[in-house]
Amino acid sequence: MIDAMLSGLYMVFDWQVIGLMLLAVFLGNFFGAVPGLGGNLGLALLIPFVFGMKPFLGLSFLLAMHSVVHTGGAIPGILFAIPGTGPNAATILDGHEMTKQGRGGEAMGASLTASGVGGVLGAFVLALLIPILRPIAMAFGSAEIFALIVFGLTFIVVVSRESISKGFSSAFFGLMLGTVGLNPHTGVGRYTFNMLWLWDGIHIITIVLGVFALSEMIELGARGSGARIADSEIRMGWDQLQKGIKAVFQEWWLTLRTSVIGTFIGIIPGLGGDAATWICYGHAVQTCKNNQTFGRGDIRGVIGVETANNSKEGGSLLPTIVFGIPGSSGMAILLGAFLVLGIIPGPKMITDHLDMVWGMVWVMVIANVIGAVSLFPLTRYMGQLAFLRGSLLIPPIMVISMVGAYLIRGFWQDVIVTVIFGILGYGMKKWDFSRAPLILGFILGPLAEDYLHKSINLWGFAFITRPVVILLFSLSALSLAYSVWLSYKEKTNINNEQDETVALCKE
Amino acid sequence: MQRVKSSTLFAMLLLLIFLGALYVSISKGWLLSSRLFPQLCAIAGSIFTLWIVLTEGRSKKAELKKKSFLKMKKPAVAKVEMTPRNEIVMIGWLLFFLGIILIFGLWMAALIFIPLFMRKFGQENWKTISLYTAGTWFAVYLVFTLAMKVSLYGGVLGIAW
Repeated sequence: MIDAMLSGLYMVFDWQVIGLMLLAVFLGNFFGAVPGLGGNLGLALLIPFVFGMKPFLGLSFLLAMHSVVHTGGAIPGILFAIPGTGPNAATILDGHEMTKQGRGGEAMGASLTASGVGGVLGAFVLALLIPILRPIAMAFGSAEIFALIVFGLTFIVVVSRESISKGFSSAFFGLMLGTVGLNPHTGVGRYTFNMLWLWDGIHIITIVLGVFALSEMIELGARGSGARIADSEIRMGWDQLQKGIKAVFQEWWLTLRTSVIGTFIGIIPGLGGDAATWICYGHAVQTCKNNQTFGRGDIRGVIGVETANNSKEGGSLLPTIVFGIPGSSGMAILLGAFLVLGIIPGPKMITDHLDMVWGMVWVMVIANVIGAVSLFPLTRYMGQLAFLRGSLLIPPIMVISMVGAYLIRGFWQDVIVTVIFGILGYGMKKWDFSRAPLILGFILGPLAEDYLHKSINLWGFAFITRPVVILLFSLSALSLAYSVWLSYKEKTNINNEQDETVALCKE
Repeated sequence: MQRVKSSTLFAMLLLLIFLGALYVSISKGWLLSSRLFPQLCAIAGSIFTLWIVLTEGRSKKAELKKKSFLKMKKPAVAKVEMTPRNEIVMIGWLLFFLGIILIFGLWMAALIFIPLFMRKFGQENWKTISLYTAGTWFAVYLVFTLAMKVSLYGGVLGIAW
């Protein structure tokens, strides 16, 4: 094992590999930061460039690029509420709020550090899990995955404590939107109204761009042409970045937990990065003390999401290389690239090519470190953008959002969908319908339905008696009860304080 | 009171969407396995939204909510008062942009929208407007056409590069 580890490290410290990794990190950050591009498009575009390369050289290039996509994707999310990639959407909740409060530097420092640390931890968890992967992966069938998704759905309550009924309303709206398109089990088109572009459903990015980016721009414009995202000056100095960096290490227990959770979610094929970040956000809200500040600019919200974002890449690489089962859509493309390069994923990777697996681990570690560190010097300049007047900021943001919405699938109808969700998102924001449950429901809904059908087909309703399922359902019930109790307690405290204030006023 | 009413209206709109979705799922004659999940979501969503419609308008609740909102120490972002007129104007700009995208395509729409918005809405000077429009347009051209080699939507008129 140690030999393979050192041999893997030796493979990485080659000038060609390092040079290509630097280029890949730059490209990865770019693909992440531009909405509508993303890691999958990046991989697809770069695969032709690795033809003819030595196998490890080519895979280092692609893997390094893919590992840092979410690091760059957090930047537009924090500054302008435009998530560079789908999984970065959860970063907006607290990151963008921090920018509005003039704490953009702190958010950026925390985001970049958490991404780097999460990526490194994810890679090491991947390395540690290699010997024990088979029993873990075998323990998760359709029924267990369904139970895990239900567990994720319980976080709807956690992220909508201000009004649980509105949170559920948003979540069911998201769940329903997730059913649009062809049912994968029956082939029936649901809510497609004979429109071909709806057969694949509504794309998450179109909803996120509308609900977050465009609604924020409507609000900014409604405040007047001179209004700015941040009312107070955004501090992007080293001291602010340092504060954000320190916060990641001060919250080391949260960082570690969300990294591990992110990695495990990444391992389970089909759950995807969006689920990982939202589940980790929910976990952070549920388990942190003084959690009423989440969603209003709490740095722990940024840390929880960004660690999961990058750590899940380590997790999703694991089934890809060991079983040849891609852990995510990005890994599916990467799997194709592996085959092009002559690398055959499967159990033999562990027995015959362990050094190469360790090489991949090191590539992820180094790429994540470079990806985070290389962006630190740029944050000072990027932060100033959020202090621009609305009349200067709104036009390019709108143009980028529309271009991003169109580029995802090349359907002009997606631009209309984005605008509709922009107006709807503004209404939700104005009337306190939490927007996070909508996205959570939309992401987890189709997965829940899919795995529920598979479980019923395989085991009938007896699937709920499987041990891991019972355990996860029990955890879901406990999580739900705990969240409702917390919400009740919070409201009771507020009412008591209000009564005291009224009594004092009367005196 | 105005705020409570508009909020109830929004909840009613959501309720209508849920009921519409439920109606479609029943009327289309989908197989049970296809309609089960959407129907469950539509029914559950309708119940929660109906609850909001029924309770949102109560003044006591609205007052408590307002107080709890203040208690939450939400950062003071909106120093400038948002008026319904401003909101409608902004939504109007968004719809205008969408309209010109559909007619002229993304390239031309950006060229039309940016200067118009900056001049009419922001009263910016022409020098800033020219620089900004050219900069944004060139950045999009550089990234998407030159670097990515993707073709952007050309609108009904098919104006694409």
